[in-house]
Amino acid sequence: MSQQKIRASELVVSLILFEVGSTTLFLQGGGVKQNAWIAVLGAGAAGALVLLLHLAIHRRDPRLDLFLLFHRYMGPWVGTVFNLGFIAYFAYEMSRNLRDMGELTMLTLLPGTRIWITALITLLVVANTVRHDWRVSFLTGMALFPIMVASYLILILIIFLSGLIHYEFLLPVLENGVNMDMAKEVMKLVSFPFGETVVFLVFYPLIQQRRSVVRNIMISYFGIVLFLAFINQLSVMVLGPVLAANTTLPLLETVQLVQFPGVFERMDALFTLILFMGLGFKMVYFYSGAVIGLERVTGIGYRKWIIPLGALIFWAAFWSPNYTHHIWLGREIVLFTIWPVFQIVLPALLFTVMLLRRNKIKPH
Amino acid sequence: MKRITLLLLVMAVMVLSAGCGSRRELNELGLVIATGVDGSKGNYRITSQMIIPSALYSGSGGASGTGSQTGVFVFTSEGHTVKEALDRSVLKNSRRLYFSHNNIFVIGKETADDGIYELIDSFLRNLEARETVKVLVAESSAKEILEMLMPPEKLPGKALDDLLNKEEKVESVYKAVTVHEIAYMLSSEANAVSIPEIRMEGSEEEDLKTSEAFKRTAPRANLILSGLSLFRGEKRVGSLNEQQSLGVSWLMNQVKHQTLSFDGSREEMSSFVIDSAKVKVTPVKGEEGYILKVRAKANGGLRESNSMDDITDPKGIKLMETEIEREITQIIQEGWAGLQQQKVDVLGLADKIYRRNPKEWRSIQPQWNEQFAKMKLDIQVKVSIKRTGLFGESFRKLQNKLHGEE
Amino acid sequence: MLNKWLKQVLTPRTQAAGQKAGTPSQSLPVNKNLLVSMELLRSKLGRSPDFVMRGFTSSKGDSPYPVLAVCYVDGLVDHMQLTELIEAAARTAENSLQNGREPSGGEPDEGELDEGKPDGGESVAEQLARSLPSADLQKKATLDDVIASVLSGSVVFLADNTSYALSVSIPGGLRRSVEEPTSQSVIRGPKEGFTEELSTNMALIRRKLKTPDLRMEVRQIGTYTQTRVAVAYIQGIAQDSVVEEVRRRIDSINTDSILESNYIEEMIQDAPLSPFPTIMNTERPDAVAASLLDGQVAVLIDGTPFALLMPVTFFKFFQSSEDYYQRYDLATFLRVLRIMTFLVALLLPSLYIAITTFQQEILPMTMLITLAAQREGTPLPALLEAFIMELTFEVIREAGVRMPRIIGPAISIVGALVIGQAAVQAGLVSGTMVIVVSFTAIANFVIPSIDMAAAVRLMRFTLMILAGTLGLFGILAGMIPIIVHLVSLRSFGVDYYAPYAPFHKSNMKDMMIRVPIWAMKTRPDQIAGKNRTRQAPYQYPPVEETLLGSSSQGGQEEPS
Repeated sequence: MSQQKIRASELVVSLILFEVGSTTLFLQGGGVKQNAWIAVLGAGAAGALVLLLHLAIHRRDPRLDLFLLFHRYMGPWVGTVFNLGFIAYFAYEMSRNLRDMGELTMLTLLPGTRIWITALITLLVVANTVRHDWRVSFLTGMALFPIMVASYLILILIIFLSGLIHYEFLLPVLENGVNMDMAKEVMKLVSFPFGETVVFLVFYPLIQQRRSVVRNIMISYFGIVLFLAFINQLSVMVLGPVLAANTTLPLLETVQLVQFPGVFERMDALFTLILFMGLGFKMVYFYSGAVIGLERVTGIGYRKWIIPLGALIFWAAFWSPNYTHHIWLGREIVLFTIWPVFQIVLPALLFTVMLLRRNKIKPH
Repeated sequence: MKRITLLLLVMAVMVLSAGCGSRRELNELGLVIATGVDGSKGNYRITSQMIIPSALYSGSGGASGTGSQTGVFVFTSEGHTVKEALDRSVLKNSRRLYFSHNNIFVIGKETADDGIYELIDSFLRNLEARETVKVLVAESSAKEILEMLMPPEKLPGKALDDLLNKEEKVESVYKAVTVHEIAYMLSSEANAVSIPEIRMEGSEEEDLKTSEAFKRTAPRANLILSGLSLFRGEKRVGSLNEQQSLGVSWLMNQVKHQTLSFDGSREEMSSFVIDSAKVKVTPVKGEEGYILKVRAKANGGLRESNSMDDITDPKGIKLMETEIEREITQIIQEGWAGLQQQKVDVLGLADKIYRRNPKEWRSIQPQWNEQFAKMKLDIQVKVSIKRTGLFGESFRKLQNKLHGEE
Repeated sequence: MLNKWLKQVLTPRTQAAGQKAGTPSQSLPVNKNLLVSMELLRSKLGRSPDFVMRGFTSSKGDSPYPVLAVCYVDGLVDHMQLTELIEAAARTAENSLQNGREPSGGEPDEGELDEGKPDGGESVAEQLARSLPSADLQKKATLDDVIASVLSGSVVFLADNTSYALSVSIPGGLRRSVEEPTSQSVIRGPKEGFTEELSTNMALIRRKLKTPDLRMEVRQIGTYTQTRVAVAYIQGIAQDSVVEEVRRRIDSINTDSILESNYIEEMIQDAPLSPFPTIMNTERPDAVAASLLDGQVAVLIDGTPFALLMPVTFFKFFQSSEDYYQRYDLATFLRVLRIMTFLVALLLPSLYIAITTFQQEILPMTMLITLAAQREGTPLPALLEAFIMELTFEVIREAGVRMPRIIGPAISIVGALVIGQAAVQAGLVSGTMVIVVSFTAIANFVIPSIDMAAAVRLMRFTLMILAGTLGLFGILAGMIPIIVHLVSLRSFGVDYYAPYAPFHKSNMKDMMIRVPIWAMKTRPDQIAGKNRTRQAPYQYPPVEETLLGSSSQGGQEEPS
């Protein structure tokens, strides 16, 4: 177990990569069609509150990570129960991402290859990254960050240049006002992707500098929200609201439409690689979160947990017999039931307990 | 330890060879550059036009193949659905069809009349098929069209694609339409789309199907863009001729470049080339119904003139501009009339209203068809002849002045 | 069993306690009886013909036995200095009042324990010590030390009735002169390269860094080779922890031979199992000097012109000393080019295979048709073809290294013709593949460091296999672990992928780009410790405006 510190900039970069990760895959807020951007912005605002909650927890007791916090403030028994819950949550998130990755590969790059092979290889690559101490994961994020940024910028540039954008697809705005559909979409979005930042509670204590961390994180967070809203909306502006909402991978479809005859055609294969990297990062952080949790709970080094947990995750990734079920499970069921518990409810509970017991237990 | 090593080895081999499922060596691919569909629901015939690479380039050296082999190979297969028809081609064809470079999709007349929703779905759902494919409607059958070569080009599918591209840029009569555009036009409030038509003109079309086509200096038949098919929903409901199609192009603000012949006050023809045009079309609610407000602006230069008016004088130019404006107005009116007759809202007016004011649209929606048919035109065209080329007064006029000819 | 062996091999070594490789030492003292010592020496050296020993008798007494002896290894000593020293020895022996003795059994006589001083006055040894014209005089007490000195190019004087020997180091013999380095040459810049002689190399560095802070510590490593190894650093710039670490690792080496710097490099590098080098080597003294000024530590090894430099980062392998001898804009361009070429060398064959086999849609149609036409006739799948071409190229390259210079050009032409043209025309391989492989090979040579180029060569094959089986996904699956590995490597405490991860803004000015010399204010963060400031700030060249507008004044002030 390493006591290496990471710098705030590395954490911020990782947060960006994590959030953008696989979010650009699907159309967010498709239920309200052309008003998706409003849904994203609204959810971003709500997500900011959740993030502030997490940061407040961190600020109160900066040296403990998520698991130690629960252990300390909720007592060893209750804390362990919650910790196991979090471990299961992280592991399940990771297995969902693994399945997403496999399905995406199947759909775009390697249609003839069995999905368990791509999933296995992905798992091995991710496990290899987790095997080094987590400082390496953050540094890898730093190393790959310029590539991701450059790729997205180029993407946006070529979409604009290709003349595919129809600004009129943005209209009419808020035709039915802010109604139940909008509320539902916003709620969905808070859980995915904005609430997933809860996993970073495991990593905050590793930061070296203390002072302007919160401010930097919040600023980058708002940047992320704007960026996501924008990219999301690009798909709508190119494909049209009805088609975008009904397409499985709208950004991919958009990229496919880009055509500079003779020079670039079908850039979607290259774009998929960027999505892979984003998905990969999410997996690395969830996986790390889970194995670190196991180490805290059991005292056995996290490296030993990588293989068993990996096998478990691999098995869990294939729970859904088909893609439709997988999506349904993820976007309709867990999104409303399980995710908010871990992302909002439990942290809120923890915070309350921290405040209540602050007289009895001084911060570490 | 030995067993673990063995297991790892086996796994490694399995993993590495598994990708073989998706491998496609280049020489097992049949590159398809144009496809066509005939038939009706439940009974589709798909025609694919495949490239033969060795006919174009020999393996080493790169010189073009001789004319004895045509550059493409066409075959047809049948099935209940589009995909089935495609896959059944395996029974006849040694190569695996590869559609990623498919640029042209031809819909046979029969299919167009029957309905195209299924076709659109198969494009959207499949990864390999691109939605940037340009669509054409065949006047006869897609099979006929695709079997024809377009000399002197070796690849007719590509030639058609180039044809559409150039045509948009140079004449702008027919707006090329992609599958993607069809999809979003149909899924919008207007539920209508216009697709260019293609047919064969001339005789002896059998010539065009063999390499004999390259042996004549002037083939006796060729493919030509001939009109605009109008679709309401999935079915084709009618077509427009060239003049009307031009009018529709104007209304859709698709005119990028156009050569317009107009007659002057004494019926002498002159030619005006438009190099930029902008048209704004807005449905405006009036007391009795909607009025289509059309405001067009075009700039260009004079290219050919027989005019007896004084071109070097601004007043003369103004006269010509008026003539041109009259011409354009007439074209637009013809186009509009054609649309109104078929009650097909390819301009997307319904969407314009919807986007501007959703409530207004909701109330008018049930009677939209009648409203559309009743719509009146309010056209204003403004033309500006920016340049008159390298010559001053028309040659005819000069001659007239010199020798007194008429 | 395999497990156990692996565990043993991969355990890092600790300080070798006592057990040295090679023959156990017998430290016999120098025998007081001169003739006995001489005989012992001769026999220990196996009566080697190039071991020369001569005795000098005293002229005062009448003993035929020598009172002083000189021994050296012919060929290892500088003859001019040798002559002077022997003259001095001969004179001393002549004037000596001591008498030689016959060889007795071994132990010195009881009565002559007083170092044989005849009636007060000095012994021969003391007289000799006084008269030898050399500043580097050492006393050696054991026979082994004497032998070691003699074998290192010293001349040793033995005196009768003395328990020590006098050794003067005069290394000489024919050595290579200082020439242009063969492996890292520049167009503009110093053309000196290291030689195999450690003292020459140390001098070359001293000439560039005339500061007392330049420290050099010499050790001898290798039981049979007794190679002298010098650790050089600049006190005050290099971090003490790094220097200490270097010392520690070198001192813990326990082997019988150090023949080249690679022996040491492999023994002390971080991550010995990684294909990436964590220690850099160079033949150029100016490169070493520049690195020392950055805070690095250099290790010079006697017997090889290649010096080691540590700690290094990944990006240092793409820098060449020439970058500083040319303009900064060109240097920046070339550096960026090198990194791009590195990526090309690594990825081009894999990308070619992946795209033509799995993702053909990326290619524009005309290219696709050309490629497809080429592949119509070729028998092998792309992956095998690439493999065979690459291996063939490696064979040609290796042959090119070994072949004598006379027939070299002929063979290379044949190689190019055979492989390139004929194979394509015979339809065995496709033309594009030849182009891809050739360009990759050329790109490989752009990398300034041979070790890094070697790493690329090996990884390329792995990536090709991954590309051939899993397409672009395979390439990604291969590149990510490589990047993770790069990021996790450390070289003597410095992160390998600095200054990108972790991000040090101030270091960026010399990594991918080269900022003009007047802008290089600080040294790299992680390597230099506290002494960061290289030069005063605001060093932009002072352009005198008055010089430009001198025409108004020039009229009156004509130079006479």
